[in-house]
Amino acid sequence: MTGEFKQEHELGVELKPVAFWQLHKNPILLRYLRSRLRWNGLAAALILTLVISAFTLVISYNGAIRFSFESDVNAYRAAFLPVFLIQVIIMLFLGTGSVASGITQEYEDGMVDYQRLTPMSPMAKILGYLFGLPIREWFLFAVTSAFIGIIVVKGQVPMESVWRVYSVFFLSIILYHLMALVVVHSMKKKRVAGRVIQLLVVVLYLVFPLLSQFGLVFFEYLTVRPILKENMLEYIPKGANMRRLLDLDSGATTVPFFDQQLRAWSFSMIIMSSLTVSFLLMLCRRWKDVTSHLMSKPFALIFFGFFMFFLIGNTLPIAKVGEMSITKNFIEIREKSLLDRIEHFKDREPLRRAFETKLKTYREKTKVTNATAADAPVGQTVFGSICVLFACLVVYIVTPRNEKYLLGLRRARNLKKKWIPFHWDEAPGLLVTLCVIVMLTVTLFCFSTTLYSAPTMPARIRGLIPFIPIVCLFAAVVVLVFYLVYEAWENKGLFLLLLFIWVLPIMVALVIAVQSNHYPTLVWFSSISPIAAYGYGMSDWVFLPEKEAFFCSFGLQVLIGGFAALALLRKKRSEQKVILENLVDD
Amino acid sequence: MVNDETIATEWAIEAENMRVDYGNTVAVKGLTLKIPYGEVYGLVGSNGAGKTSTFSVWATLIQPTYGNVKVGGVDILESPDKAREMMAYMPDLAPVPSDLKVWEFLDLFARSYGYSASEGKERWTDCLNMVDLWDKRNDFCKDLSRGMKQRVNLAKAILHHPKVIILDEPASGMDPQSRAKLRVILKKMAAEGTTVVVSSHILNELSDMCTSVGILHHGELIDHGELQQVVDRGEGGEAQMLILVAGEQALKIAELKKYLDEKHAAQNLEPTIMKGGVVVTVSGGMDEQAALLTQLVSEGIEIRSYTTLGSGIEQRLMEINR
Repeated sequence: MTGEFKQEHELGVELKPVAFWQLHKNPILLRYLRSRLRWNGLAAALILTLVISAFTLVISYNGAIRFSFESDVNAYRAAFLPVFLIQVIIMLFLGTGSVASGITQEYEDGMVDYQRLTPMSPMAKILGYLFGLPIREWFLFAVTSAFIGIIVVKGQVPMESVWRVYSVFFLSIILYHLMALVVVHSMKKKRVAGRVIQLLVVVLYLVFPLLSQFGLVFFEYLTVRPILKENMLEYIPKGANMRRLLDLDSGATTVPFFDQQLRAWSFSMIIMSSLTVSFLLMLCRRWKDVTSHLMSKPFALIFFGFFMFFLIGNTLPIAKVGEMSITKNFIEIREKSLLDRIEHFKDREPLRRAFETKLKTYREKTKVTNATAADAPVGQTVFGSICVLFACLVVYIVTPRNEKYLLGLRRARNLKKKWIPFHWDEAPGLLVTLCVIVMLTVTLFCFSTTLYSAPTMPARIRGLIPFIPIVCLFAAVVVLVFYLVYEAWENKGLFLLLLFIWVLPIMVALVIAVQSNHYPTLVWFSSISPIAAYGYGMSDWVFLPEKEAFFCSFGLQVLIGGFAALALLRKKRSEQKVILENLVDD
Repeated sequence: MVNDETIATEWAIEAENMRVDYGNTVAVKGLTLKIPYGEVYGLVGSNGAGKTSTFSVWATLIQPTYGNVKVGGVDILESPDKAREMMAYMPDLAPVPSDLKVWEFLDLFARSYGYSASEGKERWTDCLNMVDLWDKRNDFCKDLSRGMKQRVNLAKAILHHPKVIILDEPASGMDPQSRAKLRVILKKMAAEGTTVVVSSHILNELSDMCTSVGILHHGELIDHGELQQVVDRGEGGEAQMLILVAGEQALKIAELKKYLDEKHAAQNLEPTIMKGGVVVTVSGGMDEQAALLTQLVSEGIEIRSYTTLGSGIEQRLMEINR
């Protein structure tokens, strides 16, 4: 039976799988064009979208004319945001949901493995799913675009502004859909992944942008709000529905970045494109090898460094002037809203006067002051927590589970290597963790020193600057302990650490705060959590419990880290001995 | 699709010191094996022997812990995409999408392998005809019976004229007619030069179509080679043989049983009347069976025919498991 074999293709055609740029020929896209655009499933959604869009346009247009006495052009413009919101809901919420549930279904049907076996490039497969899974939502989006078209033409909105808004909107759609693919591909429990995605969309779109009130404006640029504000605000009449959503904060539409002021459009495009490329690279890795980490170790370092660079570049100019006060920002927003109403009703005496009285009372109640002693630690805690959490996420991604580590040891042994090479996924995450810690510490140090040296800070707060290195060291220890616990005891250990050390103490402290308001007890309980302890570390040192609680928390972290390090060392040594030295023929 | 350079190799599959681990569990250990072109190769073993892990590595679904694997001369770790062009894999309980019609499912994969719309249609039409499912082309895959789903998957597997087809339990859920058809298709493909690697728990069927087999046990390849050679290499153990005698059936059968009970008691043949003859248990392999038959004939028993119950490979596998 042995012999050379050569089989000619029956049709005499050289087969060439579709390249990733040939989207119109992409089989996965065509597959979803067939399955998701069947009339049976589409009809109801189509009719509903048409009805809702038409209703929104008509009601907004007529409302603007009837109640706000706007011109015809302005009345059309007033309908832009409500119809745009429908598009956001279709593409970002429903579309992202479709991507997550669709790829989950593909996994459950076993089709992902089948696709993995086809010779198409990973990028072609990713793009096929990226545009194919939400194809129904793209179709509905196209339908609503007709209404946007009417608004743009009749409302005489400049095409440049429309283009800028939609370029960022498209990129954000792709980004969120890619995020859904990344989450489903990386989670073992695919059904849970769908829920996680929905939560992530809400958090990224509604919760994270709120961090801009603490000076962390970075997250706002993952949404389309700044771009709408930059490019559409001037065209939307002041009395239009939802306009205030864009005009909540100060009038600036530029983004501070170190000493530069970037346009919101440019900054959004940079951030979103970078994340899009990163997600694509992660997905390519997963398509090539289902067992690989989302990020290689070198890529994880670049990714984390990039995130830190943009975060600090964005935050430093705000920290420099000490504007990290949420109270101050909220007061400003409320004031601005009242001033807008006064301006809007300038020709309608009774309404104008009512709003003026309201503003006066409000100003008396809340005297806007410079940053207070509490503002700096709050800003510092929020910034530090975000950085530490992100560092932990990166560490979690690149640290191999024990099963993978053992695999690496065997591979290394087979290749006559003494140790698993650093860049392998199977290599322990210690080196990456240490690099991440260095970047994290530098970022936190730069941010904290800038914030605490701000001229608006009281002298007492500026006197805390010498303690900054200790707090940065604490953050470094927290990340290191996270790594050690994960590598030593894997998910179970991590779950216990996060629940009993990170989260539960804060919950207990909140109960204490509600029940007895006994401040020292509250501080001691909450300080068990490194998140709270980090804030206490740089709080006003006049309050003794905070100071002591911080150092106790530091000690606790060192203790947990010590135990984890010992356990890890023992585990690794024995495994290494067994496998590398080949004492047992396993 | 596959250039001359890649297929100008002697072996369809070459595995060298292949190992697969899941944590501390060794699924496949040091598998070294070469399968030539045009072979129907059966990989047998009890549950957990490592068959599916082996197939998953060969199909490029998972990476081995270490070891080299080449499919059609292409290293699957270095160029998995190239290897995928020339192979097909059909897993146990092969999946079908719930939202596609049969022809849409096949068209998806025809295009994924690079066929144009018209070529693809021509190709999936041929394949559907081959598995007798042309009439079902407009049905949704989810509405097909289990056996039909297997046949659709078989059609999908042979779409792109693979040089190597790996089938994990392909006959599960199929009715006897479909199984027979499956055997014919696989034999035909092998005759045309395709290598078919197949695992099945229905060992009789494997015996019918395989030209060579490999036996996996606890992740190790215990034996492999041409089917008969592997069977012959067995210790023999115990085999059941059905002996049919000439003449008036009921009477002769009863006489034979009595004769064996009395005259051959020392051989512990445990003769039983069933299946229209006498079933005896023979210790040893083919030689011992032949010796018993010769002895019976020489003693004047008119034997019309005989057959070994259970395939040879089944007995060999049972020996190994013992």
